[in-house]
Amino acid sequence: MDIGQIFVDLAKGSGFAQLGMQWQNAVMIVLACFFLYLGIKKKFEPLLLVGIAFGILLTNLPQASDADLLYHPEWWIGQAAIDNGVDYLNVLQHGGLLDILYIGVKTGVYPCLIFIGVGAMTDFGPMIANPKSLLLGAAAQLGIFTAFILASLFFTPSQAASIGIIGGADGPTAIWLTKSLAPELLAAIAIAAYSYMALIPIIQPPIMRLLTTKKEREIKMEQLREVSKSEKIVFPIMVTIFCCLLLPSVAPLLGCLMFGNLLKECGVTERLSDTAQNALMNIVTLFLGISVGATAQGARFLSADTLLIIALGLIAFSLSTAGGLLIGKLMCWLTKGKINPLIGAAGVSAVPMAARVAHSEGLKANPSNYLLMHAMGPNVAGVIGSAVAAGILMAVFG
Amino acid sequence: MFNAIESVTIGESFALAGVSMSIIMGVLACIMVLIYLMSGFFKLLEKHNPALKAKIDALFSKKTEPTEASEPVATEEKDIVTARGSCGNIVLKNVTDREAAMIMAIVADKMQTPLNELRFKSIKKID
Repeated sequence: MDIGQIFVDLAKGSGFAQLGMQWQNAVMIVLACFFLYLGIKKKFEPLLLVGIAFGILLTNLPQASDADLLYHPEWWIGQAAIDNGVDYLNVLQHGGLLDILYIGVKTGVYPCLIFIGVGAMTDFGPMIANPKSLLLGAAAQLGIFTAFILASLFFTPSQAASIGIIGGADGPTAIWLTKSLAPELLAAIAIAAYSYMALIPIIQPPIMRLLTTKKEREIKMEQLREVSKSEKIVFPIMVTIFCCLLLPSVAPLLGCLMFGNLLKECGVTERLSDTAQNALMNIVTLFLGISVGATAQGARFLSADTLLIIALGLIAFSLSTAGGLLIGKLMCWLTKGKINPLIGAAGVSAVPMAARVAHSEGLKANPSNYLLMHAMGPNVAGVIGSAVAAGILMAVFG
Repeated sequence: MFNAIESVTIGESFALAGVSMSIIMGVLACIMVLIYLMSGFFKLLEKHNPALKAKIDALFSKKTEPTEASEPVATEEKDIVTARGSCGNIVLKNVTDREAAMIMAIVADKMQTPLNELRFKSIKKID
């Protein structure tokens, strides 16, 4: 046995020997550390950003041999996968940990499970009490389609649709659509979507102040009526039947959202509701974050396309906010000042962050103005709206 | 199902965006109408047949109300039985012990239920 040769082989096989080979990986490691800083120190969507950042870190660190790789991107978005579909048997037999976890992303299971959890945590009461808020939720999808138009100048239609959905401000929906339409852009789109959701308190207030007058922001809204238990139970069943009959492609997302909500409201499945809100949500968030992060391999991620996606995502997000505000202003005018237009900005999904921002802007204009419950209506309507938008895009481009 | 679209012109993009926005508006407007109809139905039911409405509400809220409330309790026995002490663990996320104690006391007071009969699993501060 040649001990010296063993040491030479060990040194050659170590990660340090490979670090200088790909500068993109080094940049991604720095980026992962920056995201970890944002998640841990600045608390920017930490539950997902920490997972995504660690996934980026793991996938960009040098690994000993092909057999030890945690993630094999060529199995998922390589030419063979595009031509013949993913070889799941090979993934299960020879895949690394992140390959196995990525099955949940690729098959669209994780976003749907997250929607069950979101449904179990959401109170549709404010929306049922003020059904007009659904129109604000619909208007706040404007950014999706404006970004789609712009993106279609630079990308294929499927990719443009996936980029546009960033404007829905709904991470699981963006992942659900992108994994089918443009899996090669998944990392960039997921990171952009979650980053902008985290940056809502910075992005939205200037747009709100630009598009509304102080007088409009001061408007106090009437207290919402009390919604009965019967209405809360009938609502998810009714919406599921109606939407799935009208647009079957929305069934995976909207069906799961309403199922989660029914678990919460029916009063006889408290254990299931508790599991959906806590254990299930936490487990899926963990798997989703780390496996999405793993797709951000330096050589593929660091490109002009990524920068363009981030810019288009910001446009989409801003225009969605503007769309909600403008319809809010219209409704304010039609109701002779009974609706505060700020609640329109909460029509972008991001629950409950967008509603809180609308509330705090209302408070700044008038310290006795409490808009939170009024803003929750358009906020949850936005979740339904973005799910419907994703269903339409899936039906057209899927 | 539609056939997969390989390419779109700018005009087609505008048309597709307009049609899609209209569909979203239409679907959510339909849900709005359905909610108004549902609320109207329950209001009408309450107005014309309050007994039936009460029955339906009771049916839906049956499982959420404590069943013990309707059962007569022997007052003497109730006086004898002393309340059990609090036990178990609670998960605090970004909340101090003092804040958690205050929150639990407020909840117990609002619910008119002794604190040792309530079970708190976790208290999390939402920023």
